[in-house]
Amino acid sequence: MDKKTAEPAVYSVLIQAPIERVWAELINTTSPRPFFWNSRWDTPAMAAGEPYRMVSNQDRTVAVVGQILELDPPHRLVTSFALTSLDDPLSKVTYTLKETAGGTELCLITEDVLAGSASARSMADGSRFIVRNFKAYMETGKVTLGARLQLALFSLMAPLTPRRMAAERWPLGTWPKSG
Amino acid sequence: MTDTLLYVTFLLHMETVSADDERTDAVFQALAHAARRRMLDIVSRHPGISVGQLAAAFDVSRIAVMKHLGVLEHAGLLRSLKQGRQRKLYFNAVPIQAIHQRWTNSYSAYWSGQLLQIKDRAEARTAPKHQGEQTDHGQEDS
Repeated sequence: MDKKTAEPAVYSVLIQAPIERVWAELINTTSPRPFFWNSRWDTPAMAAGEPYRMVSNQDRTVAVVGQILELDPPHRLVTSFALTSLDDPLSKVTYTLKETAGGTELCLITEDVLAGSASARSMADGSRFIVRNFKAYMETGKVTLGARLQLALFSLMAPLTPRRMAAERWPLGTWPKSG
Repeated sequence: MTDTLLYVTFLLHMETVSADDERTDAVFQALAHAARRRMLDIVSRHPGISVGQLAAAFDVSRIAVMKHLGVLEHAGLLRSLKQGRQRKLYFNAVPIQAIHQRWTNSYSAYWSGQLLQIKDRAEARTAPKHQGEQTDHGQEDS
């Protein structure tokens, strides 16, 4: 039975930084990304076709799983995407970067998200968090005050992370079916 | 003396207008037109609407609609994605959220939200209803 997917949603922001710097921060796999809730890309290589996980909490927690579908530096990164905390099918998240007079236009597009699902709500909130805090991080070196408080709270609550998000349950290359 | 200082501060500020300031100017300019606000109402309720479908809701030329769309896109309030031969339109809420967060905190946002709800409910009860008409808070009368 086909379940209805929502229309794509688009979140864009102008970042006052050169496109190469924004791209380098987006695909940095070596350190936690504050605009991704202090999680880090865990992937054999940032290349199309490779699986990835977003790991945090000393690599003990996996919040997101999927595959890198397209990589066109420094303009476009397309990934399949699933939240490990929820039961929803795989969706698609695209980042596009465009050089503008004032810096770089970062655009985040979510597609194939199950309409009305918990993932749809979570990804809408999350996408706003990402673009806003990506901008703040690039321009000031740190994410917004609200985000810093949220990250501190997450850090305190790490021991209460649901077991279904445990890294051993999500080996690289594991993800739910597409919607 | 104070006036001179203020003037100098103003001039200094003028010289350091950032890309963010320019973008914010563009947002307010884009919102300062009833037709463009209505376009945002329609696109935010119907994400993925085509340019043709949107134009059909307005009693002006397609060129005029395209001009309005250009203003909204320049302000970052609209984004378009190509799907096949169609250009689909999407509302980008981020610039509005940035303005909201600039002048509100969670306390004032809560209470101003409550006041707007009271206003909308009171007006919905007292005003004559018109099909399809909408308030500036984006709620359609039914």
